Amino acid sequence: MKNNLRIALISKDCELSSQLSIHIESKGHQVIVFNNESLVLGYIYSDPSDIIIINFQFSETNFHGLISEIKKDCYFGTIPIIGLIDENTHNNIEWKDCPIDDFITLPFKYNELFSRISLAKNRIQRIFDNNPLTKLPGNTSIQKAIENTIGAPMSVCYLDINNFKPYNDTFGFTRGDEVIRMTARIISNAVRQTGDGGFAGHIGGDDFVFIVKNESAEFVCKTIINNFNIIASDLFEEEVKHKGFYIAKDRQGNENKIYLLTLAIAVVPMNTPQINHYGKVAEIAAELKKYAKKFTESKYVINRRKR
Amino acid sequence: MQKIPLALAFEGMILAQEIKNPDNPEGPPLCGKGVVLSSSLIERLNKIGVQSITVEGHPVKIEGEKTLDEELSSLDYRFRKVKDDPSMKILREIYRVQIIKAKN
Amino acid sequence: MGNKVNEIKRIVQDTKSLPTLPGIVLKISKLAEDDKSSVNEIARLISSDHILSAKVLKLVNSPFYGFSGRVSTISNALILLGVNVIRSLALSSSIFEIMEKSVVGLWEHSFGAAVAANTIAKILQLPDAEEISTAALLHDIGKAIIKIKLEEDYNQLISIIKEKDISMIDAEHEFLGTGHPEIGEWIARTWFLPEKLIEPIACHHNVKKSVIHKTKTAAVHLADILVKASDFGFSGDDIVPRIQTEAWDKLDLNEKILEEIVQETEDRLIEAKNFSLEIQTSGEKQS
Repeated sequence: MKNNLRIALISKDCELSSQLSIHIESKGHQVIVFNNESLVLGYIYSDPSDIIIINFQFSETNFHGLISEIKKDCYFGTIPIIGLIDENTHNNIEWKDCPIDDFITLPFKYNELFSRISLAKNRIQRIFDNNPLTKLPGNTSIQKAIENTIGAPMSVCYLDINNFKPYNDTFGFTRGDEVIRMTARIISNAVRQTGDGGFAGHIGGDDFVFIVKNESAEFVCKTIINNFNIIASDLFEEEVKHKGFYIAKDRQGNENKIYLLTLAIAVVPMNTPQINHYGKVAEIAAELKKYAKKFTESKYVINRRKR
Repeated sequence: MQKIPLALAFEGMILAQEIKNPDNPEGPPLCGKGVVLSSSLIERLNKIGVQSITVEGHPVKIEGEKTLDEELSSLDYRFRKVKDDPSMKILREIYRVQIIKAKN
Repeated sequence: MGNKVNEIKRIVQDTKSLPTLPGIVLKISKLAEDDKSSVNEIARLISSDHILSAKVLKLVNSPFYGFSGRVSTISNALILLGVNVIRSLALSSSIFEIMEKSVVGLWEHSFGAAVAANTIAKILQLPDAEEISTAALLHDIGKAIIKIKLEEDYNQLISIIKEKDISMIDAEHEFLGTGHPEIGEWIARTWFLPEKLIEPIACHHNVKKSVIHKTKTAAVHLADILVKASDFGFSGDDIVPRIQTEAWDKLDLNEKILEEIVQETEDRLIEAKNFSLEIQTSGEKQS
């Protein structure tokens, strides 16, 4: 276990908080105590801790809002949350709505708590195949998510960034990584904003996948394209922005006009008989993408064929 | 122009600025610039929850409000350190005209 | 004197957040109750408050997100952070217990400067109008640090200003050995804000000093002067400073265009005043 963990402790019970703090600090960790949940999110967002411990005892709320807010955001969802629960509370918790990582029953032994913390941290790293750059779920999760939507009124959308490779080669990979991170945030925020679940994943490089309900698909694509254009135009100098291209060497070493960064999105609705397995989705998407990429501006194309 | 609480509005006043919908300030305005207030319009604005409006001229005397002379001498006072700077003379003059216009 | 400057630098280093007006937070929390509340409305509220805007820009530029200090506007921050994050951040802000006149005055001065800067950018057709407004909004963040973190010194400064009839910045140099532009620059650097915002903050009293972002700096310099000339808000003194030649030339000003800018700004400041009164009264209702 990393030696100096930062632990956020949310507990109404002041005595427990102060005792727990002393024990945690004696192990060289740092504790930030909250006695109600209202300030927690703002804190976590501006200065994320490594672990969150929530004491469910003496609390009127079930922390449902707080926990799902954290777990739904790809950046913060990997912070392990451990619940402190007394004998009586066990029956009252609906685990489906309470996506915490582990719990420990009150009263507990400190050694056990520290083992739980260590276990939770390691388990999260084991289960999640999140992309280290964007923290979005990776290929195993993507495949699972796509397979789960076959036949459902959902759209699987494949997205990539046009002219990304020359951008990366010209301005360096630090700037390239930045674009990838920004794109990831734009996609996951747009998907989240629909308010009805959805999924956003990162295949690798400049390839992304997101899944939304059929009726939200066009709106989400438009939001993503619009937001991407705003953010991407900020990446270039005034002069380049105005001209719409810059000169750089392509992969063959020839000088070339390179157009600015744009998006190509292929939207595949999953409730058509044509789609019967995972591989078919990618195949259709590849075809649609080829078409979407013929344009110099950002474009999304929806699969309308029924068979 | 003058900004007044809606309670002090009466018929015949002319709007110097559009009235925004308090529930949707980004949306279309309730009432455009230049509209002459009628008693039924005032009643309606009141129901919607509009607190204050900006009207042409200076129809309402509010206690503690500065007179034109006071406003102008306070302007000169603010510009006291740059009296002799040519571009600041220009700027002060622009403000003087603005203040006189707002009071009428 | 050197000790004082070092003390201020240390205080700036340790400043993680600053309190803001209760009215703004209350308004955002009302919007937050409504799940479908418009993103633009939240952005507009945050863009009126120098403290909240600084907080949002600090977060989006923090190394944690890896955008390497590039994000300079609230609307871009909103796209990248997402509404949920911004909302929670605003709602967890600490607020002033008492609405002091000087706090409200500085808030109004900052907001007014943003309105003026936006007008200047639009009329002069400068690129990046929103960036210029944001820089103007934050231009006196150094004064907020003095007021909030060095309360006693702030009170001293105010009495020196009255006694000697000098400007805030002159009083600062005399009494603190440094000025609010420097203090603002330190906090902006500590919080990883982009260079495009740092330069106008650092050079708004000395346009000559700016190197890369001279136009933005000149616009912020002029905006600061216009809100003071208009007697909108309170920034510590009631002295209108001179428009520096560098700014006049860089913006290519003349009497006619200045008149247009002042007229439009005065118009929009009336709306700004309405908004300010709304914020002040909703803050009172809460307490």
